[in-house]
Amino acid sequence: MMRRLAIACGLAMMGCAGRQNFYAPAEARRPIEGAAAELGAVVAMYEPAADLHIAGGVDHLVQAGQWRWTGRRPTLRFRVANAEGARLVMDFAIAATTFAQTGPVTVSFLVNDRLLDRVRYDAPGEEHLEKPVPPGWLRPGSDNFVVAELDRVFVSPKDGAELGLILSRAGFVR
Amino acid sequence: MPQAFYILLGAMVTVLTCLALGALLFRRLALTGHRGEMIWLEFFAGAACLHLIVFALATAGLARKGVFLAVAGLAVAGALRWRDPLARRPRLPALPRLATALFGAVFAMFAVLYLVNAMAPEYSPDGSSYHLGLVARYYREHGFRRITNNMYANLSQGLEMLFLFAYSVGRHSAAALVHCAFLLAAPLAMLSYARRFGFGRAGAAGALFFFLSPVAGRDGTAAYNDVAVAAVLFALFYLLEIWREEQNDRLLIPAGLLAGFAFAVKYTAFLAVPYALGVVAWKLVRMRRPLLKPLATLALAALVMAAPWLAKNALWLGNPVSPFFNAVFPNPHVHVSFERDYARYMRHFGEVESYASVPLETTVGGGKLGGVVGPLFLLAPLALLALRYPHGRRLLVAGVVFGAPYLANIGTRFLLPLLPFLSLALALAVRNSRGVAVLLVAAHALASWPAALAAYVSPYAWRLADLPLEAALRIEPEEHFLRRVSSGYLAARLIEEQVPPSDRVLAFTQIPEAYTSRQVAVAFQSAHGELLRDFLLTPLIPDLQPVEGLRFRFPETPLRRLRVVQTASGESDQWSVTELRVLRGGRELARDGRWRLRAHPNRWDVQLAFDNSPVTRWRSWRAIEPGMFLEVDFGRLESADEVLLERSPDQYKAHNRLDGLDASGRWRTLAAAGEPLTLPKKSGLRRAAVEEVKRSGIKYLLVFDEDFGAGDFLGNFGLWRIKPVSERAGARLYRID
Repeated sequence: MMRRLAIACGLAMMGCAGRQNFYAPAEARRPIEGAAAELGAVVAMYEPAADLHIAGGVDHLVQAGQWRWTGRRPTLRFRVANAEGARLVMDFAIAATTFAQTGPVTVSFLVNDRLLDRVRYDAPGEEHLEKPVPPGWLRPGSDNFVVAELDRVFVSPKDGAELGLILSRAGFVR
Repeated sequence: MPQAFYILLGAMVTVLTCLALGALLFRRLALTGHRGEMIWLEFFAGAACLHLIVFALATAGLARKGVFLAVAGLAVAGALRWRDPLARRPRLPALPRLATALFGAVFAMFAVLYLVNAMAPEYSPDGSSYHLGLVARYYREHGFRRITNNMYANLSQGLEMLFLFAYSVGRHSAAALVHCAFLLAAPLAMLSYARRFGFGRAGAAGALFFFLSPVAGRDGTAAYNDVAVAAVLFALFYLLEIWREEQNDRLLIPAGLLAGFAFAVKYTAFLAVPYALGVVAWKLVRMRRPLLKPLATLALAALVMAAPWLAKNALWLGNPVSPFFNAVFPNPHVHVSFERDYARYMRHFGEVESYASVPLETTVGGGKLGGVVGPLFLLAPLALLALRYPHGRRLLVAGVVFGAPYLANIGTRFLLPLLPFLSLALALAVRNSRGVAVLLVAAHALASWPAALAAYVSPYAWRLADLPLEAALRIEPEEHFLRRVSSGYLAARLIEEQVPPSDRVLAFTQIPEAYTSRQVAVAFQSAHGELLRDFLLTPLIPDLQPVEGLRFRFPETPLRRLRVVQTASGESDQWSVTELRVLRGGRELARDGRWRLRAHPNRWDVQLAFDNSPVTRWRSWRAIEPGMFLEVDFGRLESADEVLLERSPDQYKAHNRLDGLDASGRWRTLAAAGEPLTLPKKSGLRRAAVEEVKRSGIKYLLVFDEDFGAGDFLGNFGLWRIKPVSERAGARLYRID
């Protein structure tokens, strides 16, 4: 009889699992220190961390939840854990509306002030740059700067604002 | 011994045990029937009995090969000991010789195709992921364990119990072969039924209409359960038809067992029980016979089969029909929002804009709804001509009842429960048109053969593609075959090779869990998985981050409780609170151990709003409704003058009020609305998210290249504090440091 009772109690307790109504406060999490903790090797422009990566030349507004306008000399910073085999990647586009004014655009890609590549874009459209970074150019654990320098930009006839590239993503991959 | 031998042995032992148990049951009930007919009914009823025995063994932790073989031995020995001399049974009305030959030739051709495919290594999406993933786990652990992170473990698993029996001897392909046995038995049962009731030739055509249907062939040769459901439902119908004719109430016991077993194989067959009760009640009323005893017999037998699954879920998950009806049975394991989204998806399959496209998609398209029943079924409306015949009417009524759940899931394979009835009705409809049935069978056979199918269905249609004889016989090694055809298999083996046995993996996409012994929590498969995914998405999606505040200010008051109440409603929005802080004089009150926290709904996650983490949040996990609340009981009188909610912007409709329980024990509104604030963005979210995942016991992440955020995990693994371990076929495994 006692055994049956014990089994019944056990079953009832199992059935009551998750029926607790009140809870004590959870163990408080410690804050993660330091903004630099967010600085990574690659960033998409829609990410909140993108603001930390932008050293200049990129608009603060995210357009269509995906991309941002750059100016003439967008500059971004990244941290890499390991420089070996790193490749610079950049996803961007040249807008037809800006291209109509600027015509072909030549972009110089610099890594830590060294010229990695210079590419002429003869038509508007989406572009993907991926280029190996020579050994010794990147500094693991420190800020590494990437610059995309445009030879010409769209200048708004209304307010003189400069529009360069539509930037979606940039950074270093391995 | 070669692997192929064990595969066949596992399947044969299971099928023989089903037959033996069915024969014992029918002998015990003194049910004889016609020669050549009872074997099919005994098989299905025996399968129901074996499922219950395996369920009991798995509950007792005795799911072992030796135990299963002992059960098989006892069942077969018993059946031989108490066998029924066939000579005493009357014969079924004979089928004309030509019809027999034609039926036999077509049946044999497709039976070979099906057996070879079923015996080939199992890599079907659901079969290799959860049907056999769970079976493999039960076998490793010798029975059931409480599984709360995989909603598929909560479904009734009647056929999986038979799979488990076969798996113990022949592993994955033996299980698929057991399902194939249902596929082979179903048309033979259909033919027997038609012969018994005097339309054997039409029955032969109808049986082949079902048997040759491409979706039946694909499903029935994989470790799925849809063909088994169709077969069991037909067997139930068949038994009830015999009962209707013979008025032998002992038939109601196997009929009840089959009705309950149909539910035990798949929830969507739940209508089997009310159907059976309805048919019996209707007949009894018309005959002016007493209702109670026959109906009670039927219901009780059904309950024996269905109740174990309901009880298992009720005890372990707090919801007897989990993963459904979570709003009726609130529980921490499946979110109401998930159920709603899942049901909505199943009703439309994401890609099907209009029900008008379903007939073509399910007959000749197949890319959007997972396979085709075959172009023959474009003639389905002709089946209405069978209404001329009493059997046609009964077939169509059964088809309508068993096909009704299709409206809730429009995948082609969910038509299978309806298909045997529709097939026979269609064949009955053309029975008087000489040669038409033969022509239809021939056209259906041609259109259903793999090479012909490839010519007209979508390349993405789920179907049998060829006759993998070398793989079936393991001349091509299983490992080689699976590596060739299944990228998911590679991911499963990656986990098996790289993850220690005691460590758990979180994946965002389902993988063939049947091929790894490690525990993989797939994010969408449980409330807990969804929670972990929410943590990991927060650093990637600004709308999930706590960048908005809602400040409630009120004159300093001693309070026993504070309650933030939702006053708005919204169809798609969910209410969430990342952090709830109580302040006095601008300083936050320390949350001490006397505080008691409550929430409605989703009370289980209330602590997430009181843990100081920017990536965890309490969510309603259902659409916003007035009356939802978060509550702090201070456990004493506590003076406060401000409450601050930190929250994410993805709750456009939310509107809150602050209530307080004062010293006199009276609830009153302290602030009718909050003052919106903009909060600074938090840093270190990736690390915080991974720490939460780690806290839950997960040690590894499996991320496919197509998964959301895959690029960020790879590009910024240092920030996440995860380490890439290995990559295979687009699946990357990360270890959490």
